[in-house]
Amino acid sequence: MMSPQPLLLADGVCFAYGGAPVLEELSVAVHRGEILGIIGPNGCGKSTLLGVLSGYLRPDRGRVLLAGRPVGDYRPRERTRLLGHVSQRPEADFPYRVRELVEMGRYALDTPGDPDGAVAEALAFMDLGGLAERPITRLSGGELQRAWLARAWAADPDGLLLDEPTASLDLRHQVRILDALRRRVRERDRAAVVVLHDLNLAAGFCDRILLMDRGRTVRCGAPREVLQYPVLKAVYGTEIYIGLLDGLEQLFVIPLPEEID
Amino acid sequence: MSPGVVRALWIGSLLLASVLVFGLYLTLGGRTVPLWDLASDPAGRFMVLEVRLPRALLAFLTGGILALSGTVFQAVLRNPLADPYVVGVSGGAALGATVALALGLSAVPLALPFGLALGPVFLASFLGAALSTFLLYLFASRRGALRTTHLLLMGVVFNFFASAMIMVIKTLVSPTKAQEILFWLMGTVSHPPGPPSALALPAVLVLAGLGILWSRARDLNALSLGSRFAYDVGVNPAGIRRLAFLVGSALVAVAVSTTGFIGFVGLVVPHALRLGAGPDHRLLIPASFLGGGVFLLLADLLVRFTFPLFGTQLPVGALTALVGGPLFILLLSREGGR
Repeated sequence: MMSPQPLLLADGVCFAYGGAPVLEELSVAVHRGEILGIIGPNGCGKSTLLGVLSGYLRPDRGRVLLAGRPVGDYRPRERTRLLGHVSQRPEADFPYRVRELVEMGRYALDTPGDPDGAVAEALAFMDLGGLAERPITRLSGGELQRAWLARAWAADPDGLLLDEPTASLDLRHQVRILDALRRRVRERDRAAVVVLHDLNLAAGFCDRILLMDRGRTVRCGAPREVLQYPVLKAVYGTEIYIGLLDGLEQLFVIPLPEEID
Repeated sequence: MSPGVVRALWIGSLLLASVLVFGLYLTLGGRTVPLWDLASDPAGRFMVLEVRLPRALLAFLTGGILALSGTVFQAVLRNPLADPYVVGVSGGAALGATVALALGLSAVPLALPFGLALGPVFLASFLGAALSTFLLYLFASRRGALRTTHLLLMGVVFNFFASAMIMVIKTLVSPTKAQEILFWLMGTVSHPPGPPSALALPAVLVLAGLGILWSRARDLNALSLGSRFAYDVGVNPAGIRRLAFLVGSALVAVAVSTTGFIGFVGLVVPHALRLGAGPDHRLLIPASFLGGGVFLLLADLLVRFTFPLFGTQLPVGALTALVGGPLFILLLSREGGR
């Protein structure tokens, strides 16, 4: 069951970078208890949409409501308790230790240290237990991504916006993190918005999918309503094969080499 | 050990080092004055309290300011190699002082309440620093957001521009004035602005600045990992950036207009402390202030023993650059980087 008021609502949002429109009249609602996947070609505005949803970018037109209130009206700490965000490209310029970084996720909660064990739990969960004392400047790309995810995980906000959280991760960590996200969303009545390039992960883990192209919604709904051959072929401009996994009721999408017709 | 204990140990050790170096500085010199004999030694008392103490305080405060603002600018600009002068403050201060010296303003100090005096050169230099910083901040901002890379580049370019202007002025004035300008530019703490009481007001302001920055140490931690990161953990990046930039620039403006250009303290001290104590600003801010103070006090103690045969002293700014340059290259070469 979805609660009546969405946790996050974008209503007719327009956004432009220096005159070039990136989002045009985009509306979407995110409810507690669901994972919304955002897919679409490079540069279609997925990360900008996350920026607008999180309040970091102010839309030129339209509005974003977090739990019914304009997201810009919240005090920073108040907002952080409700809504977390993890960037696509973590920037590690200073050698904080992994543990210190994860603890920063809890700044807004005003609980110094780790009294309820959330930091230790997030570290263990992201397989960072052995790296807790390592400077973040010495992590690999995948470890860095897991450290940034652990930071958001430890804060445990009501809604999480994740920008390509699995881009640098190996298969095991991809599945592990999305599985855990799904569990947390269902068990604790949280919500998540996840930008994904891997359509198979989107098909397997998202309750609904928003397919974007050039700043607009192409389609939004259950994976089966969105991952359809003519729609994907038109948006991505490449040949694909869509199938159904036996017994799992899950779609899979394979891109095909161009010479095969 | 918990981070709190580590922090207390670092700050305690640096405080102890400060006291020891202060003791050495006041005792040693052309004439050694044991501090426990001060009560029975009027000449020694004069030497220690009226001559050495103001200079020691000036050296300590200046070193503290430079290392503290270096630390803060490095966090704000997200560049461990930024230094307190990058934001154009040194060029502006030098240009202001040069203009004042060229106009022959140095002779008339302005009297202030509480027995304080304010030199016109200091004032001109401070105004130059404040004005240049303000203008660069304005040019580097767009729609209320400070573009830090722009600020960094504009600061570097502005400092070159200011040196060129100083060259122009120096070629136009008399050789005596040119000498005076050169001496000011070299950076020295050997001429405190007055008795110890004259340093009380600046000291209070510096400590206030230190307190403000220290109280926002967690926000600086978040900002040093990027605006987006700061926003995501509940810190207003524009707010903390503006505050850190303004407080840091004001502190540097005070230092540079009192002592001239003293290089490398703001680069070497934060860098060395970050290697030893880590990047957490809750420790780094007080540690860099104390560490910078100790560093410059030691450097000035050494300077007081240079070239006694000639009856001259090296400007402390020259010594910090001579020691700091190679030290910095050494630190950087040993660092395991990406």
